[in-house]
Amino acid sequence: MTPNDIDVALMLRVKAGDEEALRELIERHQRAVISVIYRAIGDAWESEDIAQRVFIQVFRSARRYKPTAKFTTWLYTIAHNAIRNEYRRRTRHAAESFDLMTQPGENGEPGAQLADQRTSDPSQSAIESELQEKIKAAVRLLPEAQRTAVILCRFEGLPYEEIAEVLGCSVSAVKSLLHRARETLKENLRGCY
Amino acid sequence: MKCQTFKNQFDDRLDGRLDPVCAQEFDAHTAGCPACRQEWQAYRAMWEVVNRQPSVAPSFGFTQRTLRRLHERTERRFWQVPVFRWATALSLLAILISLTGVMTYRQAETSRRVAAYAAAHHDRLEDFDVIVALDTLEGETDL
Repeated sequence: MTPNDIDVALMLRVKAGDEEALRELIERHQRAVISVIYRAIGDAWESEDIAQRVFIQVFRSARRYKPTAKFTTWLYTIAHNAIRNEYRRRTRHAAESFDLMTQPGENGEPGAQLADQRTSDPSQSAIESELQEKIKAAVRLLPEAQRTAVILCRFEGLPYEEIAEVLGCSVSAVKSLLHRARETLKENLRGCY
Repeated sequence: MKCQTFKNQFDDRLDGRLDPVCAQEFDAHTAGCPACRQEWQAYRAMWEVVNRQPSVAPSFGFTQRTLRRLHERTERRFWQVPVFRWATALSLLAILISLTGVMTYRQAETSRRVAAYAAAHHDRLEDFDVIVALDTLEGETDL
């Protein structure tokens, strides 16, 4: 039984109103969904809030779910739409600055598990932290479609075909998006590598 | 392999999407072309830096909080379910129709009673009319 088969079986149970199946689905995909959202918006608390909305949307849309496509494709499409809505909301509320986004990892807040990946040398840690901030900012500054393509391809390892389904475009368009994102990131991260 | 073809394969090579033959050609070009090698190394290094960005783990109790939120939302939206909205609208319509029916019936009943009374007391009513007419005449005489 492939992971997708398990997801589909769980989703069919959710469709029948089985909450335990939803719990299992959340457990299976929470990390990936939160990570995708976090990489896109850069705020740990907001990421969890949006991820919760994504799973609630999964439950609400369960009746319309048809196991024709891969479950994760469907899930990432919902997450992508949620991220897009969040960006629109922030654009409307321009006063809410993206620069004020919180740094995760303190006092048990979301992302606290990142701590173990940091180096023990304080100066090295500071450099690494600064670099991570630059990367986060560079990824966030990418146009919407390019950003999603990069996140899904590079961080989540999704195949082009699946990314194309999430973004609603062709595979060649995905390749083009990744190429343009590569050029932009290369420019913005000059000196970091 | 041309340099441009080589550059176009950066992403595929990085993700291991190139088939073995193409991968071999790619590596051969890397070894033979210093300019492309430099660009490939820079490109790979950049993604290594990007990939170093750690993933975010959910905070403790994320699943429970999500399910709780789901219930809150479900409860809040209970009355917003179309079935309930339609039921409310239909109930109000039924009450309105019933009230209209009752009022119409009562009006018809009153009219019917008046008509029945008039029919039963036809003579007395005629006398009453005569008395009223006489009173009027007397009043006019006084004036």
